[in-house]
Amino acid sequence: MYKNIFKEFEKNERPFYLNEYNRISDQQITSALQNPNPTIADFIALTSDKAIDHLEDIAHKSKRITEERFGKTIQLFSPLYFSSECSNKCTYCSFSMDNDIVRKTLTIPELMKEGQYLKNKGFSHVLLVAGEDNRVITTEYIVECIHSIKKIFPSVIIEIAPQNIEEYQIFAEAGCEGVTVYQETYDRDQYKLHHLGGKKRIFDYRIDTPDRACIAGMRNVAIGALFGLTHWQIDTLSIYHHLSYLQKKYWRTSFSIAFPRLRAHVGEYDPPPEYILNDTKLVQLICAFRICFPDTGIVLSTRESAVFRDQVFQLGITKMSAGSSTEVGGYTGDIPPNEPQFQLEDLRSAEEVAQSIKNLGYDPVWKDWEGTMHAIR
Amino acid sequence: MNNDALLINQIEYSSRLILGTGKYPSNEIMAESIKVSKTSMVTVALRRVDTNTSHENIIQYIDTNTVSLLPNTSGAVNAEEAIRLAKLGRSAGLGDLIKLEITPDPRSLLPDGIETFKACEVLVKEGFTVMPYINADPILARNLEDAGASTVMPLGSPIGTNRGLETKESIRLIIENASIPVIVDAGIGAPSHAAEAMEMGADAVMVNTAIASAKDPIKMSVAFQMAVESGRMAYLSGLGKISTDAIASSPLTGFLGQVNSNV
Repeated sequence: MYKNIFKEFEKNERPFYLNEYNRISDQQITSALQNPNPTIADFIALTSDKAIDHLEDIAHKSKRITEERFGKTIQLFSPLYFSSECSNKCTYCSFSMDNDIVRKTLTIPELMKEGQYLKNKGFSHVLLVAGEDNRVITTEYIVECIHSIKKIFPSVIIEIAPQNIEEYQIFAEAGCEGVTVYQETYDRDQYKLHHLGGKKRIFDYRIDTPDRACIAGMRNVAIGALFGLTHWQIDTLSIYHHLSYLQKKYWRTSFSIAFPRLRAHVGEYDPPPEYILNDTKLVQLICAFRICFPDTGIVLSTRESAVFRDQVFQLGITKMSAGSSTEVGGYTGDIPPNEPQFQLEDLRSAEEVAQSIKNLGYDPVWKDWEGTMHAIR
Repeated sequence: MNNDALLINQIEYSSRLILGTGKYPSNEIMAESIKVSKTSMVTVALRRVDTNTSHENIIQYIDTNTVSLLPNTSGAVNAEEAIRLAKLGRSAGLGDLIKLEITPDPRSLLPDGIETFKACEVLVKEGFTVMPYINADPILARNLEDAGASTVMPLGSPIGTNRGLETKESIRLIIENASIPVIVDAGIGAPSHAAEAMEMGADAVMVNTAIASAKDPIKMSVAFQMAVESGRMAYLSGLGKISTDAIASSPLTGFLGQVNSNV
């Protein structure tokens, strides 16, 4: 499991690498761009502040690698929020248990109505999202949700509370193909400051979640950090390390990464300026990860603005959400309005996003999975 | 009629260039590339086929009167999944041809020989025309032929790399020993690679990334069509042997029969 390896990393290697950021030369950046098998030293060079002067070259290389590996295609998916119940206290999230919002958990008919709405929009890939409260969002309920939604979607991925291996096996057998779980932050001290109550407080349990999902046989695992909780260098280096570990250990699993940035929400936390990942830095991260991990999926959500997404997806992104709602029951609308988990920036419809992708010379891919491929029990 | 047609399981195909349908910037460009390449066979990932969608379906863009569909099992990680996908394609009316691709490592996308062999045995019994994608492994190629595969499709280099025929010597052995068509699949990054494969005696080549990711995919299809035809023509014309040693002008054994001997 990763937690012990990470302990070594955060104690010894990470401080060393953080220090490396202070002495990057132009020469190192140029040679990083030429290295056919980039190392973590190259990665640091490519994500350094100095590399901003080389951003055009970095972007060109990233774009070329992406087109070679994935073609000029973008896979589209949609989140479907099915519960806002949560027993965690997190400073940055609207679903935090302290927040006085209307809580809602979809019944199966309500879930199917939302699902059918997305199906009619053309989606084949759905991400089921829920808060973290295992008293309401039980294993049995989740299995029922997966089973039901799988009838209309070939590809179902879950973003819910971290689970044990046994639960993940049950979900995989029910037809769930992947797990998305962000560490939020790999900075242990900041993690404690932002996760004040609930099971999520246990840093080590969360960081081993991708291991458990892989062991259980999930085919796609997405990891990432919520940028804004600590200095971006800490989380960036840690994602690099975590991803390298996972890809080597679980060679059959397909991995994706994402770099969500904090947005306005119902909560008390506003990131200090030095923690903020600005647009330039985000572009740098996308391109540097692409150059160092040519085969890894990179996801860009509707947290980012339409203008920004239209430009950035061409540099290294493989999957995008579109026409999203982060509200439980937010698509079909006949459920009393409640609080979205966070505010979105790209408010275009799925069709508008797809059209924009086409206009930019890319093929929006709605279906890239066959649900009946593996046996569902 | 074409007297040099590619023959797969007793069916004639006029072209020796097989195209993919992935990675194109649009379905329209894909359709035009297929048309100008004069191909008679294109492969389609079964996992991408969606028969009940409001969106465009990839197959709508292929003129199935002139081009045969070669459904493939890409995405499958073991024999069981590949078999399931193949049957799904057949029941959806996509025919008996199947390009068997089993790739358990999502990063390298290299084929699993053991699972491919298992699936081939089953699918042959089920009456499919099985075209397995394999590493350039001459023994596996022979085993698959014995198991009833209709072609073998060894890779030139890992898929999507455009690195050309890195496995050339193994491919040469496969071609030498095979009685079924050998189609070089994956890694062909330039028309010159395709020509090289055809000159060696490959029966056909399969190209996707090099065309779909080209700046002008349509023009690149034409370039590949010409390369495949010229490589084939060169092969049929009998290429001169390449020799690394100079041919000695004074034969070393010329004395035999000239001097008196005790024979």
